[in-house]
Amino acid sequence: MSTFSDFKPLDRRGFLRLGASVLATASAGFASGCGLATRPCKSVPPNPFVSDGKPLLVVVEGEDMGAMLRRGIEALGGLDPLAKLGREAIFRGNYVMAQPYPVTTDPDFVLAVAAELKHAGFSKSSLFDCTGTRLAAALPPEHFMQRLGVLDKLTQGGVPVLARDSLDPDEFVFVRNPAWPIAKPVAVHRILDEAPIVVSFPVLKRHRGGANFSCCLKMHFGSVAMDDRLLIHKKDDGGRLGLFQQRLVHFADAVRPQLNMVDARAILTRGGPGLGGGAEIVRGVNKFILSGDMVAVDSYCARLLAQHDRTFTFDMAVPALQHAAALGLGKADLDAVRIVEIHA
Amino acid sequence: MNGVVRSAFGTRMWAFLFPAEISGDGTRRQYRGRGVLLWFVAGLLFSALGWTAGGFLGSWAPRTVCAVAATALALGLLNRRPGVAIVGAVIAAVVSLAAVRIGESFFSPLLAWPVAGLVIGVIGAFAFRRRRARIAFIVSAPFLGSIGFLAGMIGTVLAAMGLEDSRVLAQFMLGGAGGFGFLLLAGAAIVGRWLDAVRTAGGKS
Repeated sequence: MSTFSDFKPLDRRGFLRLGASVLATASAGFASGCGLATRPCKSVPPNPFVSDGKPLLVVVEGEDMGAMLRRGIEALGGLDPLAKLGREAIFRGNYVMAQPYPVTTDPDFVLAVAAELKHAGFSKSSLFDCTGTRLAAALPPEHFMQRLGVLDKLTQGGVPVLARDSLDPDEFVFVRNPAWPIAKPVAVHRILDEAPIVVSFPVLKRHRGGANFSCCLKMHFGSVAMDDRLLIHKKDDGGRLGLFQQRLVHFADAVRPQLNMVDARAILTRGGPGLGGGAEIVRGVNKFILSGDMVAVDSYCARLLAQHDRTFTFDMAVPALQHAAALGLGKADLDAVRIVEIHA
Repeated sequence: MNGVVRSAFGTRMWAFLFPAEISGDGTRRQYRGRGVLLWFVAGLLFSALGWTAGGFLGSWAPRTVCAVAATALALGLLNRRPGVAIVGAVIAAVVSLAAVRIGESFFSPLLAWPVAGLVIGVIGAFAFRRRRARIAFIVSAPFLGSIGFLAGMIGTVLAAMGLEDSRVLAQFMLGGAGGFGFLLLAGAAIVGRWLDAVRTAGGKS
């Protein structure tokens, strides 16, 4: 049995050994404490909305939001395929600034979809958004939604809002798909990475800069950490290198929603992603586009935008669509998609 | 292994960290000054490790609190006052937590860093013997802490931009925490060396 008198002070060699051990432990603790581990992108089940082996894309035209939504969901085959994946859904809205629909997602549309999901047996639907940071008291994550009245409206309507800090590294996980030509991982929000069901609510907008237009793929800029957004903006803001369009596809790949519901009753043309800078709202488009295939939706919506915006052509969306199709996110060729067009 | 190397490895840790100094009259005496480099490194590591450890408790607030407390602890331990180190760490943690909470609704939780610098400056000042050193450290600590924090943060952002890696960019606050500890303890060491030295008979101040 050792006694206190047996204790020998640490010599230099012992000190170095101890130092190496402490360093190794600290390195492991650092990687864990800072959440630096990179994992593969989440595994998602195949598109639940298919017909004869082709992804289904439903286009509903009309003026009554509720009727359009119900007819659209019926044409999709109902929400049962979605309900088989879980009982709770995470909604992804677009609240990038404090400007109302069609710059941002209409909260009435979110509530209408939440009601349909509840009717289909879902126990809970929450809206996720990731803009702003708690590091600035003037720009907290819920700031834009609060100014738009979306926060109160959704909360009172039974849809909790998960407004998260876009700068907080503890909120994100690093994911990477080996097929990405840009090898660096992407920090996707933990909530989206872990959600079994993500329902995405893009708005159809012209987007100046590298993206050219914003819909299902581009909206996932809001699903990743501000760090990733800043880095790609710095690297290829104008999109001349083609990296911007690739990266926005990688952001979408990190989320892979199970259902995409585009509210294109009105669309933003000529400028964007917000009002100003020559942007114009075109009303009376009056369409909902629903599909489990976000590439097919973007392919359809790029054509739709080109019909209403002389500054935009379908070709401007092609690089992102081709890259997304190559990564297996969906079908860019609409001949490979079953399109159902209905009136409500 | 020859005797010199063996004796070098056999040297006690204390002598390794604080080697004997040969004074002007040729005699060896224990080095009693502050090993400036050790203070720099300790400040950086303690603060960064505090920030990292805080991640196991939560996010911005616990990370800031742990980083600040660890810096205060490092200062106390380097001054060889463990009791003061613990008390200082607790006070710095409580005050910085309050500053984070206030900052969340007014301006920014980043306010906690200069506030923590001031608290550590006041607590750390007790370690100095001369009034001028105490005043200099109390006045300079919030500035040193803030400048170190900003420099660390900017350095991390620039490194991340160069590497084009969001994993590095995500750690911009860790860089800030490291810069805070680094410059604060460097300031303490320099103030101690230059303003707190006591003139001894026949020696240099």
